[in-house]
Formats: sequence, C-alpha cells, structure tokens
Amino acid sequence: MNQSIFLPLESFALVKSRRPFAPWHADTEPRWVAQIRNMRLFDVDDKDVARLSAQLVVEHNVHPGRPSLWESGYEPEHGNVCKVQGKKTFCLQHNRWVDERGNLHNDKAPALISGQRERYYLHGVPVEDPKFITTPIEQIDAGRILGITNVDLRREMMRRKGIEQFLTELFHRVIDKRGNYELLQIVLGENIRQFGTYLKMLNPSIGVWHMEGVPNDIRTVDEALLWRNNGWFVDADKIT
Amino acid sequence: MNNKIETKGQQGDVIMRRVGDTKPLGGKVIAKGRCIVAEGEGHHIHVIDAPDTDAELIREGERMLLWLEKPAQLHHVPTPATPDAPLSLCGEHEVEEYPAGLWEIGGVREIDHFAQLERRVVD
Repeated sequence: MNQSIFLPLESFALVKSRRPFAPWHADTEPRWVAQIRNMRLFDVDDKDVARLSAQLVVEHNVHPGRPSLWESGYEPEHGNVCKVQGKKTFCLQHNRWVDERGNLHNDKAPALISGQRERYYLHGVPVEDPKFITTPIEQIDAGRILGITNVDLRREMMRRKGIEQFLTELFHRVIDKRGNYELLQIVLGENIRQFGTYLKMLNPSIGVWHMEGVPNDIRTVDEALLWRNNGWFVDADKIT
Repeated sequence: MNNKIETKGQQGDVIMRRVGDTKPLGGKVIAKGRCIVAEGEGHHIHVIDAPDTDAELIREGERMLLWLEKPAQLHHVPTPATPDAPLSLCGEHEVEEYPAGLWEIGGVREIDHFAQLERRVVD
C-alpha cells in the first residue's frame, strides 16, 4: 500500500526520487509547481544536510541525496509536489499563497512557508530580500526601485507601487510617445543635469508597465526601440 | 494563439531576426533538436523544442544562429531538470511560431543610469 509522508522543505529536498509521474503533468500543472521546482535552497547548509539526512534515514528509512527540488512531480490528487521512493510518496508540507494565474505571490508576507523556511514571491518572481515585501510600499523610494538590476523584480515592484504613484514620486518629463511606449527623462540626482532617459512600455504578455534605461542622447521612442533591439529593428512582427 | 513571426521576433528579452534561407557552411553546432536560445537569471529559458533533424543552434564567431529546417515554436518555460526532461509550459511569455530558415539570436539591452553601464537585459 502506498504511504504518503509530509515533509518540510529542507527535508523534502533531500529525498532522492525517481521521476514519479511519467510524463509530468507538464501542460496542466499549476505555475506554482514549477516555481517550487526552481526554488533556490540557499539557506540549507552542510550542517543541516547532515542532520536532516540522518533523521530521514532513521525516521523514514529513506535514501537521502543532495538537496534538490528538480525531481519533484506534481500529483493532482494531492494538489501538491511529491517525490517517490519505493512505495512511499513524500509530499511537501507547506502553506502557499498564489495570484489569479497560479503564481506564488504575496505582497505583504511570505508566499510559501514550509517548516522553518519562508520564501517570498511577487507574481511568481522570487524575491530574495524580504524587505522588498515586508516594507510598506510607500516607504520604498521610486528611485530605489528604478535602480533594481533584475528587470522582473523592478517591474513587479513598480506594479506593487502602481505606475501612476511610481511616476508621481519621480521628477520627470515625457519627451516622446507612441502607442504603449513613452520616452521619459527622469532626474536621478540632486540637480536636473543628473538625469536618465527611460523607455516606459507595456509587457504584452501580462499587461504590466515597466521601464528600462536607454542612452541619454536618444530623443524618440523609435530611436530608443532601435537601440534597445541591438540596432536590428524598431518593431518586431510580434512581441510576447 | 496567433504569434506568427515573419522576419523579426521578440519574446521578452530575446530578439530574433531572419538572416537567410540556407544553412551556414561554417560555425560550430552547439545543440540539435532542443535548442536553448537564452537563459535568464530567473531560472527560465527560451527554447525551441524540435526533433534533432529540424533545429540546430550554431555558433559562428560572435554570432549565435538558429537553423530551422521546418517551422518551430519558441517557448518561454522554467528550466527543465535535465536536458531531456519534459518542458513545463507555464512561462510568462506566449509561444511564438517561427518559419523555417536561418535566424540570428540576440538580446535586448539597457542602460543602468545608476551604475552608468550598458548591459543585456536579464529576466
């Protein structure tokens, strides 16, 4: 008889598994499943691995391996990610919060809690510094958001603040506009000579605004797009 | 879905342009069949998943080229566990359809005005 055992993230990751469900429910599984599979285990150190591995052997007679979530399969019946070893099915003991598309998401607290581990996500984008989420958004300066290197996190923080509020907090002017594109000059320093030129655009796949920097000598949206696209073209046949 | 590309495609931070109808004579074949055209730091890949005979990723000097023997789809999906693992079709960007031919692969770039440097956009 199959036995289901629920484990917290750090122990679950150590369970070696054959691919449990062949083929994966690749086209039907919710988005959060892939996000768990991709989760970084940066806070599980060697000491944890040794202690938890021993615990798994003693308590569940399990063959432990290196921490990994890659082999986790999705089991629709449990609505959970699972690993299989012999006749035992190991499931991830966790609480999760998701958005309307099924992405891990919580803009006030962790989006996933499992054992002692907490993971923060904004619409499926992993957020390694919890301060981006636990700090009230009105206390996070728009300039700080503009300086975030990862474009996904920058976009999600702009979404969290709201594009109108985001721009209200920045001294700026629109120098060109076309369709869903705007070219803006934004003051970044203490005087107006310290500015950056940014292209504001709509992500067509998820309908969210974001902004990317372009050279300050650019004056039109078309010039900005041509530069951004490596000088290859202004508009693609289709953007997704 | 009607995301058919003719000569210029863009899927998130990846751009592709059609550069010919024939397979290049030189260059080094990096992959066949499942061709990962770009990988971001967010654990997602842009990938063509075709039979080995239908797609080849070719490095030619500084250029990255994609030869498509037949039309193929470009997916944006989470990085699979192993090179041959099934793809989980839940990326952020919609699937694009590319006709057969030779394509050059590139990435969009941006200026970081704070660090005062130019870099390829990463997502």
